[in-house]
Amino acid sequence: MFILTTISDLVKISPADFSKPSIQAIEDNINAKYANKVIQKVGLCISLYDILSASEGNIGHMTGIVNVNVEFRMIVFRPFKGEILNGKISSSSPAGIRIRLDFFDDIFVPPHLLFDGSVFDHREAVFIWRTEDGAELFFDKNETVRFRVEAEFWNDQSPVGPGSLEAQANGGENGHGSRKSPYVIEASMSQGGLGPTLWW
Amino acid sequence: MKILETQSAPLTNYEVLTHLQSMRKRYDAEHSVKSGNLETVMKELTDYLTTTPSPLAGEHEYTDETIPKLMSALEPYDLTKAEMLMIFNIRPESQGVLDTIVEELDMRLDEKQQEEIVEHVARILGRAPEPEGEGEDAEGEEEEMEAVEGEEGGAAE
Repeated sequence: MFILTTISDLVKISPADFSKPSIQAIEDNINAKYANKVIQKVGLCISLYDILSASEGNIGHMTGIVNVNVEFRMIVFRPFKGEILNGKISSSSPAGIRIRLDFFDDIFVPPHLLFDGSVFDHREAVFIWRTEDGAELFFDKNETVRFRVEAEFWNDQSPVGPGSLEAQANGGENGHGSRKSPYVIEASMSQGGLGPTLWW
Repeated sequence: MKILETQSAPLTNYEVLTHLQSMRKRYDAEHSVKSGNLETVMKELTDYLTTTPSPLAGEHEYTDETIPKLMSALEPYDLTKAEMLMIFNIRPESQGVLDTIVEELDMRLDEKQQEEIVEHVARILGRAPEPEGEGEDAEGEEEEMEAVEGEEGGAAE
């Protein structure tokens, strides 16, 4: 579920950070920029793993900022297709089940990727799996579940013009996509061993 | 920013947790301040990795030698690297869970081999502590729970 990604970037160390050892200043700078952020088509950055190389610092004209070219590796959350993960059900709606990990909330299981015979109960607001032998199994809220990663969706958050912004706001009001998340994982629970862990 | 290589290497959950813990120790020792976003993700990820059902919850048997040990023990079963990684992260304790991790398990390995894998995993990675009481009791409770769920469903209709 985690990978290392090699990135090269220009790190700007402001004079306020000159009291720190350079390596510390570079690390803090990189973490402040990347930690807990999604890079499109790469994944959710966790933290710096190690620094591979750094150039000499060049002092910028007028500002006193030191510019360093750094090559480093980040720990990135990027589960692969088919990977089995554990999470908790955060909510259910007729559109599907949302699952959260403590640090990542955008995992979604649409109804067609649940067990055959799973229906949404509007009164209880949960999905129920009616098995062939008549038992009813509940996908309760906050239940710990095991699921399989099926697909990933990327929504670029780059700023857009005012026209398209309005369209986005109107279109995003309904359903689960009220706020477009930069990185959404589609998952399934339709095989023996998947679903709430206490079933198996 | 330039991405030089998206996937330089996969990491196991154990390696990530070890890295986070050593980072925290270093920051604490130097009394340096972490940026807010780093603090958040470190805390949340540590929480995720150290609560059940994660095998790294509480006292665990994972060490730096565990990976090569498990790799060599499972070598004869011809598993892919991704499957190894998942076995290491999830620690399957039954053949049912192993079946979700290993694709087409029944075609590739027979019953006896599957049992062997689960045994190797339990031996090298340890087992989850029993929730409460004896194993037999737990099973009884489970049946009871299903019965209750059935009743609830009946009442709903």
